Amino acid sequence: MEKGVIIEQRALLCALGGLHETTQSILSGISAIRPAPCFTIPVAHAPFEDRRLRELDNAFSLLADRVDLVEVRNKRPLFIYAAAKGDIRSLEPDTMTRALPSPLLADQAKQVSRITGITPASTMVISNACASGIVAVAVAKFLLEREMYSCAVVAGFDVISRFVTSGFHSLGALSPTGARPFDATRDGLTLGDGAALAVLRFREPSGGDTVITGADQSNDANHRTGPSRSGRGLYLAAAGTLKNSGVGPEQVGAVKCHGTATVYNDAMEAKAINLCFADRPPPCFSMKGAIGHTSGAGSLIELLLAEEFLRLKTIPPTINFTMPDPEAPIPVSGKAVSFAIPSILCLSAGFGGLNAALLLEKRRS
Amino acid sequence: MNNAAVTVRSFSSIDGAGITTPGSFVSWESGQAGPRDIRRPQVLPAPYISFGKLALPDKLAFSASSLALRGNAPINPENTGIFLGIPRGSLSTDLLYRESIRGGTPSPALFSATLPSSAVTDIAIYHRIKGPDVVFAGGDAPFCTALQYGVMMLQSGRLIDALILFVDEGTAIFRNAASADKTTSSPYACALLLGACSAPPPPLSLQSASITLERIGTPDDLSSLEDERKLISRLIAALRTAASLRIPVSSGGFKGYISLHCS
Repeated sequence: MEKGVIIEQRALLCALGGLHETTQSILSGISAIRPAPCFTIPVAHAPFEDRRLRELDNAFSLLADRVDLVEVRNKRPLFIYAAAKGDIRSLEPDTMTRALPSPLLADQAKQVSRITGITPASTMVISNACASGIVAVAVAKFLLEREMYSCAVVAGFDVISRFVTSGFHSLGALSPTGARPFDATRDGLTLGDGAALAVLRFREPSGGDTVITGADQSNDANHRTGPSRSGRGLYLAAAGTLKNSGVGPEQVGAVKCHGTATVYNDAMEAKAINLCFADRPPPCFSMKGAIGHTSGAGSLIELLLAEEFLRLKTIPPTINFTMPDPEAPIPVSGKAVSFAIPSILCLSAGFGGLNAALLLEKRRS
Repeated sequence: MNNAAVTVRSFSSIDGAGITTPGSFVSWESGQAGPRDIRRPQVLPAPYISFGKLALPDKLAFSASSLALRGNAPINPENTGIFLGIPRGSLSTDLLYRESIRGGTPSPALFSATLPSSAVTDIAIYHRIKGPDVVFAGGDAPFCTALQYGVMMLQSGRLIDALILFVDEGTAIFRNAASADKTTSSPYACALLLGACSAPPPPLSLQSASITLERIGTPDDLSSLEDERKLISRLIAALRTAASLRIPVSSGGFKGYISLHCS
């Protein structure tokens, strides 16, 4: 069987817990979003139960215990740390102590590497705004396919902070009540906390493996913070991904949307999806009504969750979606449905018009 | 693996001495405070309203890119990628934004510039570059990593042009920040515009400059940012004088030789 890039191990932490708890909660229609004051700004937020998990060291100590890194540690892997801002407690406006991690992502990557006990052949830090996680996986895929490394470890981390919350608040992007992706009444995003760790390898798939068969990226070249109204940038990334996967639109079982629940993002994304699928898209879903927007780590967290939903053969509900928006006409549902075709096109978009897409396909046993 | 040479279509660098482009070196004007004080007419022929508002890393990246792209517009915007090494991220902008929070009025413009990837945004918007971007905000030798990845993307056939950037805003601005890096350096930026072999011939000023990456040998260690800046300086100096060069490199991201052939 032809070799492919496979996610061999995975672990995550988000507002709903680890991988298993989060998957089950989303399938049960549970959202972690609670309307509550967040750092004195009245927004809904999705905090970890234990705020220590917002700390880089604690989060990765826990994640490292949930995967088996013994073999990886001996393989000198490629290590990629993906974050938009990472652990920036030292940049909080009221920070007085100096005993906090460096705000530089380069220093945080070294810290994660040390905590997980990995001695990488190579360390990369990828910061492509909210698309960081999926771009890191795409870079790992590209290099693994060229057999430059025996395996790759991708780590993602981004958490709620006053620094980030105040920024989104200043842009008027936060929902006062909670994210409702693709809903006609949506009024903004909800921030969330998240960390994830994945081990990738290029090998022959065995029965039931999920393979990353394609990936591509594009830039809107349009606006510093707003998405392109035409959706063409994200469409280019999605179409490029299908092209380099050798897959036609009719062979895609579902679309995992970026789905931030801002008015403009979701409308743009619906246009991109309709362009890609010639107005006949497969079922689409967003997870941000359940776990919030976990920024640069989010696309990695959502990729791992998407893979799990593929394994469970169930397209998850889009939580908080009740009323279809005629301005964003794609098939989103508040209920879980079965996959007709075992593949998911994962989409992500970030500030600066950075778009990324990736295709996950389940190999038949 | 395809290891074909790629063409150097153009380049630029901005350092403490001045601005280097193919066939030209311009010193800073009297009273001009080096790279952090670079002015729009030194970069672009026409006004660009956003230029004066750009945060320092973004301005350095935009300036180096615009100088390299002068007279070398991308052949196909959707097949042109931007690969940026920015080892210190956007820390100076982070500190400015934090001050705006402390002042009670968080600045949305500064907030969007606190993302390291902000440094590619205006390049893409102004020059209409719509291909893939990857921002390497640290790790082993971010410039070499960006160069290697960009070259491999050209060799894969996905891209026709690749803009390889390096931006280091230096350390003087944030001596008090909680950074482990306590070295002192001034702002620096450079850009290499690389083309696939299928691209049209390079401009006359770079008649046949090409780069090959060879992953062989037992090259020198490249473990610090200072070492990488020295390597970039050697590369730019060789391009400026049309000299061939073979630099051994060993970083986590790349092991082998960067070979520059000029004739």
